[in-house]
Amino acid sequence: MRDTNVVGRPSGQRSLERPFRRIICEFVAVLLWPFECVAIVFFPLLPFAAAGIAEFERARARECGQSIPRIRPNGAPWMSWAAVRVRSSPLWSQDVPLTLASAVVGLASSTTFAVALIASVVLIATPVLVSRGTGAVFGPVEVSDAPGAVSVVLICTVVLLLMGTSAVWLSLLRDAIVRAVSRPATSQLVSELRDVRSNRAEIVSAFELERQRIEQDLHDGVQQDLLALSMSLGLLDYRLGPTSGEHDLVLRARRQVETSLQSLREIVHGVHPKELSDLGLNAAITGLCERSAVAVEIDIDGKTDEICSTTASALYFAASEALSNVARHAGTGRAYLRLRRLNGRLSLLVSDNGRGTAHIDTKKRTGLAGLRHRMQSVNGDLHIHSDPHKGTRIEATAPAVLSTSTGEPSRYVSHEREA
Amino acid sequence: MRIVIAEDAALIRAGLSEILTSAGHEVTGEVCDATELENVLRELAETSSLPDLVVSDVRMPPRNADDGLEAAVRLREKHPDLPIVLLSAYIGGPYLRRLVQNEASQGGIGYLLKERVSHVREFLQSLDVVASGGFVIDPEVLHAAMHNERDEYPGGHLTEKERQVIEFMSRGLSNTQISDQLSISAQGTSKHIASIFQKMGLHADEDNRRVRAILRWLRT
Repeated sequence: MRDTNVVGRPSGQRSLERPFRRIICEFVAVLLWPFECVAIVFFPLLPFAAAGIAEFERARARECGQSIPRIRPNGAPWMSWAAVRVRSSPLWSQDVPLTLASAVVGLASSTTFAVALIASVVLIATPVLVSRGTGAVFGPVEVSDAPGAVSVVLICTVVLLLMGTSAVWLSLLRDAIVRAVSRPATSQLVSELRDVRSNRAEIVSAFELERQRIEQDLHDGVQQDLLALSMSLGLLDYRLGPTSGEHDLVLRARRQVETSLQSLREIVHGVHPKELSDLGLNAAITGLCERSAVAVEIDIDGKTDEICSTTASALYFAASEALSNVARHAGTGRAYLRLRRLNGRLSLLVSDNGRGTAHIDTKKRTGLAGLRHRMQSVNGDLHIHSDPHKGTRIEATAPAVLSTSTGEPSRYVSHEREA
Repeated sequence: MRIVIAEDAALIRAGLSEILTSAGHEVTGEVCDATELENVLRELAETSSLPDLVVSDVRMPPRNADDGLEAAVRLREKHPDLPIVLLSAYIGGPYLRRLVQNEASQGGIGYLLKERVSHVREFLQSLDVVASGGFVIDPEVLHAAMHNERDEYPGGHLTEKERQVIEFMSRGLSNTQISDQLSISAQGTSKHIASIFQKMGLHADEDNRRVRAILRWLRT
């Protein structure tokens, strides 16, 4: 997809392809030139005029084939946009220099067109005057016969061509000026990148907190209620006794509640597993392996209790998806999971000796593709190596960001590994 | 029985209390966090009126992590004979092993998933088993905790049937119930159990072979 914010020449020689269009654009620019001069002379007007004139120059450049982004949003009213633009710093770094340069080029353009105008007049008038017999006078030179007229016409034609070429070159010069002015400074790009990164981190963290809140609400509210309901039904069954006629009905009711509880538990688990916030990453992943349909050889080393919850939950879901993948596709009942914390990075490896059919299909939002995005959102990554003979390896890595640095309360409990 | 309940969710606590009183037990105390649990038990110990059983949630304030479990472990250190049943909201993690690891050879431990409580008859039976020194481990927790190669002992591997027998034993089933479950005769069950004891190296003159066998199996 072409990035419309890239400033520059489109590939190929398109800039010279539209000479007539350029000449017309130059003409329009010349019409605007007096206003530019007025704005410069009456310099209080300059900032406001500069916003509009710079926008015109950009539009002109776009007409001539340059890819210059428009600054004024489509449909925004001129006056209010200009009022905002005037207060922004790019006005002084971009718009005003552009206006000044435009005025200078405009001087040259005006001269060019003036000469062209004179040449056109002479070109037309001379043959007419000569054919009428009056003759034309250009200072000391008098032209009154046909060969003279022809030479004048030829000279004028040459002059017009030269002026045309001039106009095109001036137009190219304007292009170059607009491009130079529109290139953002590296420091600006760096600061924008920093902003984008920190915004993304905030969004991901807010999302994570929201998920935890949902899980908390579901657990404290609905799950509690359903469990109490289930217990009441169980007590009812107990009091009625196994021989009562209502026994089956009550059991069926209780079973329905248990099914709901189970579904709710699974949803909550997919949203944010409770073990993760209560027990920490190590214990949660151990629990995951124990519950897995596949026999998992676990190799966990390093304290992960202080890891911030966004990173921890990304790794947890990576492990979960990886193990599901083994169960679904590998055709083998055994897997190996390794979790390490080394040099400020967390690394998770899930491997099996199965059929090796795992791959990330980025077109569909399959579990693994979504996982890679999730890992990347915590500044980590996910890689898959799959081989029909050697099985599959899924590796997820992420920087070990500590939870205290994002201001979350650390609710993890440190567990020693059993001897 | 005199029972102390520790559970932070009010609805669940009330439900538990109701179930226990329906069965004729006396609810000696109801607490809603781990610290209070230990305080209450201390007071009862001072007046020599320890309860017959403690039923506690694993996850409770103050930390909302595994406070109930930690409290249980500490209580067992002070009062090794105190039967405790833990109720857990989820399966995994090192909970079960920690609880079992810290034991010498005592029984009287129960570990159930919270939703089992609504199966009132079985729940009450589990309480009885634990109160009299046995083990009751929730089958789902068992399956999760028992994965690779748990059957290797000095005397050799446990057979499939023997594995099933000891699993049922850990769930608190009596020999009769085990025979029913496996559709074998009472002698068949006894033979399997004897074989299990032999493979684990538990001699006939040792006390509490059943409890020790279960512990040994859970600990591997």
